[in-house]
Amino acid sequence: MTPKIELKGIKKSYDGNPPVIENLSMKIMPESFTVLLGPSGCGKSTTLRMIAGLEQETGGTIFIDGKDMKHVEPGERNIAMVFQNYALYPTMTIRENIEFGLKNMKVEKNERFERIKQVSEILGLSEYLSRKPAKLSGGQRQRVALARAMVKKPAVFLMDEPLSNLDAKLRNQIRGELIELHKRLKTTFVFVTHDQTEAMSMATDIILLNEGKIMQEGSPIEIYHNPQNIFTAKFIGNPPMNILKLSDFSSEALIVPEKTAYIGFRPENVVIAESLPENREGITFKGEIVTHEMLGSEILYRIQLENESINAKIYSSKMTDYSQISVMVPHEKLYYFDTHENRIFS
Amino acid sequence: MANITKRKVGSRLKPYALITPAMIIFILFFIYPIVYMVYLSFFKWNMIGDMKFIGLNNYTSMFANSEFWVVMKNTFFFMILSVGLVILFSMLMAVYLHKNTKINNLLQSVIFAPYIISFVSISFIFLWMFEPDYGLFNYFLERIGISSVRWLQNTNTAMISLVMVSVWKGVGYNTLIIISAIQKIPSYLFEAAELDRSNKAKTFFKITIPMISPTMFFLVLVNLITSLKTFETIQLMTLGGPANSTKTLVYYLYEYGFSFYKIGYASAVGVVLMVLIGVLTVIYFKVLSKKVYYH
Amino acid sequence: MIKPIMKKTIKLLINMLIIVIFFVPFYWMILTAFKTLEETVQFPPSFWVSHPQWENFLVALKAIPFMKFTINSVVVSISVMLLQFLTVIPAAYAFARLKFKGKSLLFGTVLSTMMVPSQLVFLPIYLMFSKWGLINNYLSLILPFATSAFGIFMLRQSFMQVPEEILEAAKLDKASEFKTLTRIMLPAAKPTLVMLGLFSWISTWNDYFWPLVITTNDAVRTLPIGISSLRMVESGVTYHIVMAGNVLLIIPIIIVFLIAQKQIIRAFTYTGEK
Repeated sequence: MTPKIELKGIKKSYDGNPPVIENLSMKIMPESFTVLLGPSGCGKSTTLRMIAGLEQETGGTIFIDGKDMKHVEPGERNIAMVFQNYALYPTMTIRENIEFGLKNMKVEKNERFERIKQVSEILGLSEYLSRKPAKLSGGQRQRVALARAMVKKPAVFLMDEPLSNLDAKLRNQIRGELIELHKRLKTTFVFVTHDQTEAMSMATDIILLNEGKIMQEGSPIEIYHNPQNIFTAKFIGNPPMNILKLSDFSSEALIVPEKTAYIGFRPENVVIAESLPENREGITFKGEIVTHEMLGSEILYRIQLENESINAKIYSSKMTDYSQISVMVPHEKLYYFDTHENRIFS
Repeated sequence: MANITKRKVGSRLKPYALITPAMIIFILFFIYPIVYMVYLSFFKWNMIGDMKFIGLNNYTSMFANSEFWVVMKNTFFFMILSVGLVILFSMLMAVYLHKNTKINNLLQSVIFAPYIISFVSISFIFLWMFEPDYGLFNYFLERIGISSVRWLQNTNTAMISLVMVSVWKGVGYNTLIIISAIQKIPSYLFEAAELDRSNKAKTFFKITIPMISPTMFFLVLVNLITSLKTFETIQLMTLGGPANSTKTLVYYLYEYGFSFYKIGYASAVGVVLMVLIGVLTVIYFKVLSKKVYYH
Repeated sequence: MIKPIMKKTIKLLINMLIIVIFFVPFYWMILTAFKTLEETVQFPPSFWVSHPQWENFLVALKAIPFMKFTINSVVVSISVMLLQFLTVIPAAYAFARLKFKGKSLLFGTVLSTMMVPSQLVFLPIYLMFSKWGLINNYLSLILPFATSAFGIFMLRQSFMQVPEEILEAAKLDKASEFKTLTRIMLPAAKPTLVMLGLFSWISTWNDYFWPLVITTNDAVRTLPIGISSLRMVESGVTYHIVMAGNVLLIIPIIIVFLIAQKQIIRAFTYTGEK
């Protein structure tokens, strides 16, 4: 299958400064919901803007549907973009906002009317069409931005942190709506965010970026269960994976693969008890509970070990009464990393 | 590819194309005339005959002319008095009117109105009120037991009368600018001062004045330039008289150019005016750039 | 309880004094415009007229080619305003949104012309126009004001405030640059454009100096010159006629001021500070 979007050897630098992206290649598959995930400054927004044609790449080539986009204007790329601040035209009504692109694409009047009717029904905007953006709430503005993108029936939707200006409740709701929308439209979504929860819940494919490089790509399940390096392991999951230096395990006789420098395990795989169980099927520590957070179905403990502290997520409604406890992690839940912080597969 | 390079060249030239109409006007009617004026100041010319190069003669004869020094004295007298009074009254007005109440907003509009009324109208209204025999001012003076004044006909009072008109016309503009500066002072400063038990006077001198000082500086310079170019009231009310007592640089320049047709000499006077405005402008921009820096 | 009352009274007195100082001259103008010649030279003067002399206005209208002056004023002030929009909008757009070599130098030049008053350059410009044979031509009244450094400065400021993302959205919506300007930038800058138009129109309508120095023929001169010539109509100054003409000159400005007070005040007191 040919990718919908392909980046080959992309380089981007601003006015002679050292490049923010040195050599980036990726493939975004048709009908995927691809999330570009990473901390701020990792180059994810720049990448999205280069795909849109709003920024010119310094080197390399971007293909959409196998076509070189170098000299194709943003308006000609058959894409639509939803901006973080929605970027609605403040002096136009909602209808005019949605219609503006269609008019520029010389879509006929009847057709325009039909399409606007359709998208505004899907997104529940029908009664706001004659209002100005300033009169709408944040969530409604977000929907207008979506409508403006949808109405053009683009081959690709580009979204630049579109949920970050919404409050938590609304964000969850729109997240669900986006998933539904993606299913209904069957087009390619490219979504930029720094929020791993957002990425995990929506994506079919995640591309995790750091400092202009791809750290890992794959499905949410793959990326969660099979992190290829410490960066991925710590970025995905909440709270992040516990990473301990091998040198911290002084007393235990530990069987680890060769070259292991770090051992990692997820907070949700930690077992705690008052005393050690008889049959040890994992590594064990002694520790002291420092803090605990009741999260509803689970409890999050912060546990101080000899040298470091770890997080433990326990699915239980009952709080432990003891502060001095034993900690166990099963062997099959351990991850091993070398000195370059790359995963060692045992 | 050829198409694309063409488009690139086009887009490189576009900014220049967009500013060209405006730039042509600026060059033709602001920059070139100044150069031309400096050029003319080295010639003797009466607009009809041939131009004769005379070097710095216009300048030497101007500086040797006692009338020129009277004009300079008048110009500076007018400038200092009118700017001083405008700033003083505007400050008082601004402090009095800066709170946003209905009556204050109305008064702000009332005092601003003269600023957008034509100099012709203002001059005639004041000419009429200054009228020595039937004028309103002398009527008021008489009512409070002061003998009447021949405002514009007396060498001692003519210039002061013109200053009165300028101050009256300009005070509203200045007041509104100071008010907006005062209103931009963050209110927590005043609240902090109140908690520190500062009294009203202290708050005014320690907080208000320092906070609006950049605006005051801007206003002083704007008013200095405004006073330097004051022409209409003089032309309409005194024609520079009596006995040259209200003749300022601009009027002197106008008179030499348009009544005596001494273009070279008038241009030399213009160069002096230009230097004065230029110095003020340079100071203004210097301080402005500093101000931006300190923000 | 005495103190607040005292304070209120003092405030009232000051307010009244301000109104007297700034309003009485206008009242005096209007009053005089309705007086007879005898009433104007009566001392002490009367502060009311029992028989308003409406014919003063007719005398003023007939004494000068009033219609001609009015038409000239309208033609000149509207042309100046339109030309300013035509030259200021593209220049402000370029300075606000485009990158080009020498931009800051050119913009500095624009700003510095703001400090050049017409009272400084009228003589060379007069000589230029007379060389071109354009004295007593509308062009000599219009062309020097066909652009406005102040306008470029102000409009650039409001163009810069349009968020970058909105322009990018327009780009993705396939809008041409011209369409982006007319459908997005200009509507967003509408308050500024209104201010500029008012500023330009009022300044030209009121201008006395430029038509005085650059024209010599009533055929192209504007209303302020016409009104100023009223004092020469009869022997001695006939103030009731002059004031009647004055009222006619001021009325359009006052009407516009009453309609768009806020915008006018903002336009004239705009100093570029945020």
